[in-house]
Amino acid sequence: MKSTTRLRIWMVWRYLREGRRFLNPNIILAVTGIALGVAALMISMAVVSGYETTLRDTLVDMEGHLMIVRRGGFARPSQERQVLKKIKSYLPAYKASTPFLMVEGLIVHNKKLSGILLEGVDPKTSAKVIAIQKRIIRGRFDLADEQANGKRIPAAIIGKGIARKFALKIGEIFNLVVPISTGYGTASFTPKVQKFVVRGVLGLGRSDFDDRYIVTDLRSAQNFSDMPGRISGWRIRLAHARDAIPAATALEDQLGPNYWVRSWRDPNRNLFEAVQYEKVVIFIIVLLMEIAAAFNVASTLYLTVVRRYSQMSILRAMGVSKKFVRQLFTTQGLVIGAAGSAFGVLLGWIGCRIFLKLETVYGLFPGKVYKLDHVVLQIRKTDMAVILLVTLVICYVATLAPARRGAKLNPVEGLRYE
Amino acid sequence: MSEPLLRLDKVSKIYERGDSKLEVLQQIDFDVYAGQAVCILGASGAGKSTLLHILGTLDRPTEGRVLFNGKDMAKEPDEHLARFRNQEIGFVFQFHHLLSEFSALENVMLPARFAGQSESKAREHALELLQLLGLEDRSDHFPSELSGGEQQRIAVARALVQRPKILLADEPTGNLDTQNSEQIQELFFQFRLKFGLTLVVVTHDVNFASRFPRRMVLKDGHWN
Repeated sequence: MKSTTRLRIWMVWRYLREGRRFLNPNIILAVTGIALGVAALMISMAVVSGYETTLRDTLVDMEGHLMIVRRGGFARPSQERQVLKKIKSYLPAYKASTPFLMVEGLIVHNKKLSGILLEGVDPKTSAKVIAIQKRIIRGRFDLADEQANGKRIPAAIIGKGIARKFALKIGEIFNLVVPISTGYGTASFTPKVQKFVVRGVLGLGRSDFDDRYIVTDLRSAQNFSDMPGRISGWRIRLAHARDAIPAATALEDQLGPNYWVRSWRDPNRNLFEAVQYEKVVIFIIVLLMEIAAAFNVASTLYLTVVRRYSQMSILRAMGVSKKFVRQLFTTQGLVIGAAGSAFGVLLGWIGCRIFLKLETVYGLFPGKVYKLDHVVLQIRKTDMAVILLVTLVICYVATLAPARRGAKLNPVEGLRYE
Repeated sequence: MSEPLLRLDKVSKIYERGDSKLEVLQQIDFDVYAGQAVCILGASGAGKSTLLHILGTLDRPTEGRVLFNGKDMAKEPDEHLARFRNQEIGFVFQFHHLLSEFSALENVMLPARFAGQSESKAREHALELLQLLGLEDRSDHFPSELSGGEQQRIAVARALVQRPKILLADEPTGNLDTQNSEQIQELFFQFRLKFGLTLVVVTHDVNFASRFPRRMVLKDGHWN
């Protein structure tokens, strides 16, 4: 650090302390204003970014980064190997894939019924692509059949909404019903009923999934739906979630019309875009609060200019240049900004902790409205960098006018009177 | 005689406000030689302070030249004048103008720090002066904790820490009681001898003025 910069910072520190006082009350108010602005920005950005990330993680944990489905019917994995080879060669970010079968049906239990989605997953390969295991809130990820009275009962992991609605506990047995096609035409279905045993409960964080989602072994799902050896498609894991968005479009072009490719973002594209817009709008609105706080910094500095009129004059007499006087004020503003930012970060962190506590106790997030029943707050480095940079720029700009005024003071005027 | 250290050459200072003009200094010529001690006397409003400010380059003349070792300082940019004041001129005013947020020692150190001196070097120089003034035990005190006489002595130390060639003082004893006034007067002449200072002092104090070998009286903007 240059010696003049060190000298300036030392002088500013003395001005802020006003000699031996701990801190001058005007400065405390100015710092508090900035701190509140930074904290408000930090909390709001943490909520919006956290919402975005929680939503993305839920989708990626359930569906992987990409989903590839053959149009017009169910595929056989053996027939799809060539396609999978093609996919790997087209996607440089490819990491892993797993087959899946999705069947719509009904759950019937305790004289209640409800529509469900039954997903058959391959226990050997699914862990590399989706993360159902980490979403299990009760029980375990074990899809091996259970033996009861000489009969094999497939295991299932059910959404927590289903568990709640049907009062199902680990180890209890429930019935699923699926329509089995017996020919062409709307009337050509017969219902097929199968018992499943609850092995685990999933908390996906999205009420629309938790209320409908049931996972079982791929083979069990194939047998139950009378589609042995058939799959709906593949779920793909890439190096990064962000790779999926361009990959989906590129892959669909490459695979042709027989395949439908969807990224994790596609089903909620509008929601993600809305979140992005909201983030910008919230940032601007909260920023206005910080700009108001910056006026406080400017007025504090104006006051300093007036109070230190004779001091600035004597500094000039001692050989201080106008530039140094100007920098003395801008440094003062920047120190206020930096102190406000530091306290703001601390306040913001405390605010985030309080938000999380309130969310846990009072359920701040209505799941039906926001699609998520809770949000994990996320303080992103980029958000923080933008907040701190913008704060310092605002504080710097707020200092310019008082600093210019301070530098323009005629030293003779300040020396004439005490 | 050699070239004067400071010279005012037909210096005028005119303040304009709307249509009215106030000519504070009128075509003033003034030579100050190195080591001289000059006292400027005059009634209030005669232009003494303005003259001192122009000599110290705190103000620019409306007309005329301000020569330091033959160089016209009136034409120099602000940055150069700031450096010039820091290196060559010490100021003492009627009010001590000490910075209230800094201790006595720090106040004395400031001009040296502005000149880019390290903190230790500036501290050494400042302490040396405070010892000469008998104020070393007050070095950590803030201005509000010092008496009027001590404050003014600290202001003298601050003016001299850079070992300037010229000391310009505007009513340096105007705010002091007799005892403190005499102490300050004594200091001026002690330091003049010790450091080979050139003194230009504006005062109303007849006793103080009588100690100067050269006295000039300013009346209505010109020498009487």
